[in-house]
Amino acid sequence: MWIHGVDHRTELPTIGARDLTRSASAKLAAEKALAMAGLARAAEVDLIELMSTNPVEEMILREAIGLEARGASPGKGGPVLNPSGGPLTANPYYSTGIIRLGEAFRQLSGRAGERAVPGARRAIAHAASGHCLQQNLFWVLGTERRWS
Amino acid sequence: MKRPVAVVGVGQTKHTSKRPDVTIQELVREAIDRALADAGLEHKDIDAVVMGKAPDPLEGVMQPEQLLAGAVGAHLKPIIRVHTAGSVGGTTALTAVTHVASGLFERVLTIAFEKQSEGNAMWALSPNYAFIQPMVAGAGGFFAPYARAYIEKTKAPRHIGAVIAANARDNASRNEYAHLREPMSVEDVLNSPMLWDPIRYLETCPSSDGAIALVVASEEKALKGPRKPAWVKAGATFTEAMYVPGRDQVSPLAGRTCAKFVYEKAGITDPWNQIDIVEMYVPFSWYEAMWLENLGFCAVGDGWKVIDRGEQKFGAHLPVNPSGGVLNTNPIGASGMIRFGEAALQVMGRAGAHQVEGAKVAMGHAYGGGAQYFSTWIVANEL
Repeated sequence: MWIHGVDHRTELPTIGARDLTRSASAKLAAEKALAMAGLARAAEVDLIELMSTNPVEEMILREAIGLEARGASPGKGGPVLNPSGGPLTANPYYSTGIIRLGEAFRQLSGRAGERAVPGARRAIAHAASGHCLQQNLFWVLGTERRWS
Repeated sequence: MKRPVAVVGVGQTKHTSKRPDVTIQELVREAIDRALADAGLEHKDIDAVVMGKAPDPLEGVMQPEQLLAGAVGAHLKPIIRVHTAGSVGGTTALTAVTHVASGLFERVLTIAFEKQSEGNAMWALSPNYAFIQPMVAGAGGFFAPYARAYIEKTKAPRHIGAVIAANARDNASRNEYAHLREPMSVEDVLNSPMLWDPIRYLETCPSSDGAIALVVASEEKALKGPRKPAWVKAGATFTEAMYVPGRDQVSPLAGRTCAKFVYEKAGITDPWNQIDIVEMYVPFSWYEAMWLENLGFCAVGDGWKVIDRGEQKFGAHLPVNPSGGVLNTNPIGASGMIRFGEAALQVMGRAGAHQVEGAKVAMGHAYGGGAQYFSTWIVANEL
């Protein structure tokens, strides 16, 4: 599997220094990683492994990476989110991010077993850290070689 | 390296035992402001931040890269924290170099610090782990047997450690940023109390509060800077296991391998004659003799003879630690990067009163853990 794009951004750890319902670092990192991968939108991938350790983080992150606008309901179709079950089902904290990358790799390489997303060719893997979701890192992976 | 990388700015604090006047954030910011001013840059010119420090228990601040995100100017930028114990400052600088060499980043700010007055490094480094030899009251207790083994192996006279310490202090007297600068003779060292045989009180590094920051840049950006940069000719980090039967603890294989690797990459076949100055990591006096051998500056068993002949002195054949080294300044996490930064300052010709005349090629060196992590770089005044 090939790395098509990657980016990592941090924000301040200070609760109260920003609107905690939005993640500027996730938005910027996702935009940069997608641009490096030559994709216009996160919705263009087949699956996303998101390091959302609670449902609220999932909503903040979905909005930050542009899956839907604030307040909108998820539409039909679109990328499969956390086919592995995600961090809500297994969270060995400092491994949780790299597990997302490993799961994306397994999906694209056809080794995801019963949780396989059929025909998956592109995936996003995400890692986060910090008590107010202030560090965000996105990988975009693909089955085809992108860089020479 | 995929493309050339240079050091374009260096900034450090005046190292001292206690800086109660500043927080950790303010301490690192002091070094960063000086490094950016030195490079003629502002925070907006920086693409990523790479920071390092020794184990978190030294100050009790966990994940300092999160605490310091604002102080180091990393808001909405990538930040990465590196940790390889005492060698971390060197490894951190090399991680910044890799960032730029990759082609993904043009200018990277790298920073290392320790504020030892906020914790107790010796006891933080002395936990008991299952199946692991205890640290025996900090690093000095751990390394003293290795120094004894060196003396046993090489038949070095016992005064060599004191000569190393007194020379390091003489060097520190010319460095305005050094922590300990008071005059100190060989006799003073020999008369100081024995802490961990053969290491006396005055042959031991101090506990310091301090920080250093470097700005590393691509060739294109480096050539636009206000001053001549230091070019990174080669850099490497090598590691070995701490407890392996038969391991050479006096001259670890990883250290020898690391030196050989950077010499090859930098085209150095005769380090004794091709390197003008070396800033090596010497927290306890005897390590200077040991590293002279480990880094290939002389034959095995000859390190102490180089010292005895005075060839390591300021103005002699191979000035070792013209800054005064770790023996006189030791904010642990920063100590490796200070070696790297001082090597860069020497080839830039901007080391001030401790400038080695005509220095063109310099080596920065750091080690950590149980003498198992090694980081070195070779910097030069020309690409």
